[in-house]
Amino acid sequence: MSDNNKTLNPWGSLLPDDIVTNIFLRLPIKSIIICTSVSKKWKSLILDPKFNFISTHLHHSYNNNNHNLHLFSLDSQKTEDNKEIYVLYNEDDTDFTRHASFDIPLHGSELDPLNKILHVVGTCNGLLCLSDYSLETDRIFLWNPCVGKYLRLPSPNVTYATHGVFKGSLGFGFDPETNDYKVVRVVSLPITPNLPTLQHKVEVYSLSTGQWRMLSDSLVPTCVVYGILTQSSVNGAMHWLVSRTANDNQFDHFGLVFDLHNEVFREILLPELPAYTRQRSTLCASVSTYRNSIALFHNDHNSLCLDIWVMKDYGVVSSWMKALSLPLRKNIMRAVGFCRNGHIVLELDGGQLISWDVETQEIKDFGIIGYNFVDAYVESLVLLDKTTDNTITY
Amino acid sequence: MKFCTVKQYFDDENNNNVTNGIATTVIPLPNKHLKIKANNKEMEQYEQELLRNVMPQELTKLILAANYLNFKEALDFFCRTVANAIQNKSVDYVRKFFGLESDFEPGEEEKLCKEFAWSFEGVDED
Repeated sequence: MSDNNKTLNPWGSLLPDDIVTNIFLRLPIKSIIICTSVSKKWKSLILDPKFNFISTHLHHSYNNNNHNLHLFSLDSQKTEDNKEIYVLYNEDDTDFTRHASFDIPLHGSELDPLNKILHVVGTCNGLLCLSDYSLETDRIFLWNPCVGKYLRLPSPNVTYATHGVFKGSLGFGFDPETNDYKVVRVVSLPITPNLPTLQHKVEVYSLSTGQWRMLSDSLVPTCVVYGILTQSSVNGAMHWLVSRTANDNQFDHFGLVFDLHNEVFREILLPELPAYTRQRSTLCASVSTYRNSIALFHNDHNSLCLDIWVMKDYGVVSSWMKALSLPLRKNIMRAVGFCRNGHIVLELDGGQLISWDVETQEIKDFGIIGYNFVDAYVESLVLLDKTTDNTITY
Repeated sequence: MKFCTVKQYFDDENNNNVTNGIATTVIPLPNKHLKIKANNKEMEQYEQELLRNVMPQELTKLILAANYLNFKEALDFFCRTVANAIQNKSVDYVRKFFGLESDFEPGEEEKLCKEFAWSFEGVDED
């Protein structure tokens, strides 16, 4: 191979770093990874944190409007070998052909002897947070399907082994100020002979430290948060829809917000929903992300409408605005989120998923029936530079 | 602005980076670019032509020239051309394209290849 290189003329090394980076940014992820093996310099340009390439690549992905992707986790019962698979679709395709599909290699392995289903907690910047939500096995993973790497989180401080039965919830988000990914676990320990009052505990895992840290008791929210909740991670905060038992034994519903940077909780009031009732702890609603703010999907069973509310000015309660109202009778079951191109993803009767363009009224069928998770997605290289013991490349 | 830099370049006799040959390719580019800016198909054809007729070595020099002349559109175009040329190609192909040699310690490279084995699969034949 080097016979014709008698006079070593490495013209490639004449290219300044920023131009080499410019070229990398235009490559598909697989090719970027191949470039890490070309030379030490190239490996360093891509993986060394001082060059910040992973962040640059992420911004480039977000700004690439030709590549709006949507991620679906398909129901394992409907796939060929009864495993969950994750598929990516390009939102702008005229016929939704599959852009890529991934299978997480955890089934039947040492990490998953019982073959438990992993649920998606949330997705952020190309990373997925998964958990089996099981008291006994209690596993949590961070996974980037695009680079084929996953990492298992260490055991939280509060577990079934240490504290007995508990109810809890997980959240996943990104702190843009420290460029760090965090997983939040909120648990409620039930009243027992040893524990006379209901106790809430919160701990936060940070990818940069690789460890869990308990939040001080004074900072813990006083509402019960449990189950697999829909979440919205935006503006450096995580948002859940929760309820709290009020003094009159009815329920108050609100948005619970966890500031990922300062690691404190705060509350956001919901819009004034028509026919709002405080009699039930659950609300037929879910939160979602819309542009740089939050949205609320509410199924109003009185008027039989699906109402889509958007908080126009993030954080300003008076800016909640009913953006859209869709009749529930036309087979529409619920809204599940927004595409990056602004279209709405709806679930129809029977589990069929479609995207709906509000302006043109155009409907596109994803051709998917039966899903566990769906959200907008962006390809990234996050985790590529992680080389700790519990990071697995497959 | 672009043409001031070009004039300054020619006046700068110490500059050896760009030969006359390259200058004749880069200088007409603004005109060509303006003419066919809206027409993607023609740009694609021009890109194919470039890749066929111009050695990677020359392409690198074109990039350096465009960079020196601060000609962003040309720079983006050439970078895109290079990216398309090395997309989905093997490590060896990419090295050959840029005239680079592996400077990894023995074993270091094998480790990398093993770690990301899946991304080395399905690449185009060299």
